Amino acid sequence: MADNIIDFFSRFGLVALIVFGLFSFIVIVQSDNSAVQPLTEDSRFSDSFSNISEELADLEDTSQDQWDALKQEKSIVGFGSIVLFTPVNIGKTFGSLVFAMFELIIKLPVIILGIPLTVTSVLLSWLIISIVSALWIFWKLGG
Amino acid sequence: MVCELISNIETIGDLLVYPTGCNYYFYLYFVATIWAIIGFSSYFVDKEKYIKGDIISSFGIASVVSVFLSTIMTLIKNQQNIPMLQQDLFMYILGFCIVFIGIWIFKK
Repeated sequence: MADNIIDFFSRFGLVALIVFGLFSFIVIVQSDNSAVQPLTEDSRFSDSFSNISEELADLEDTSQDQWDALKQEKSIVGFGSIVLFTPVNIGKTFGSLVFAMFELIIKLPVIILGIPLTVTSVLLSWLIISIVSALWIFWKLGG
Repeated sequence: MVCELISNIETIGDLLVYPTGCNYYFYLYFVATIWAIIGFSSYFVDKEKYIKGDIISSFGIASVVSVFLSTIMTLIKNQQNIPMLQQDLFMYILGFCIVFIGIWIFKK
């Protein structure tokens, strides 16, 4: 089950990285070849692009913080198990990160293509339920 | 939109941008057609080879190709500095393709 949760988080990370790479490719190619209408001049695009790059840059810091917290934690031996509280924080960090990435990646198509808000709401509610379920399993295994 | 005079076409850039002057959405339709051709042909080739095709993967690949193609199209311009593919049309293509690329990679 733990493999599924790690898989869930890593897929979101992979999608964010590939979309970021695609955005970077377009920006670099257009700026190197002095495009007449570069994409960076469009506010909708530049907002999403800068948000994704900030989120990805923050990933290392937040992960490092959680690793430091895990190292300092003293484990409590329960009945047939070891109780650790840090996985709860790690889960919260990854949950918010995945949610932010999804919102950023989906925001651009939603604005550009004019997708109705109801569709977005359904997608986001599905995502929230998936994250909550995945984190609950993660906490149960970690706690 | 009024088409430009054929006699004004002097460079390859002018020739490539010419359809945009006649129909603003010409290259949007062009990229959409390329996307559909690549997607469906790749899907049916897969279906023949492996019996069961994967339509999301086929259109994911077609989306990557379409983004690259449309990026190149934004770089080509005529003597009046009009690009082959306008920025707002490129945004439509990008937004549409990101959905397919995202679903494709997430599914893998």
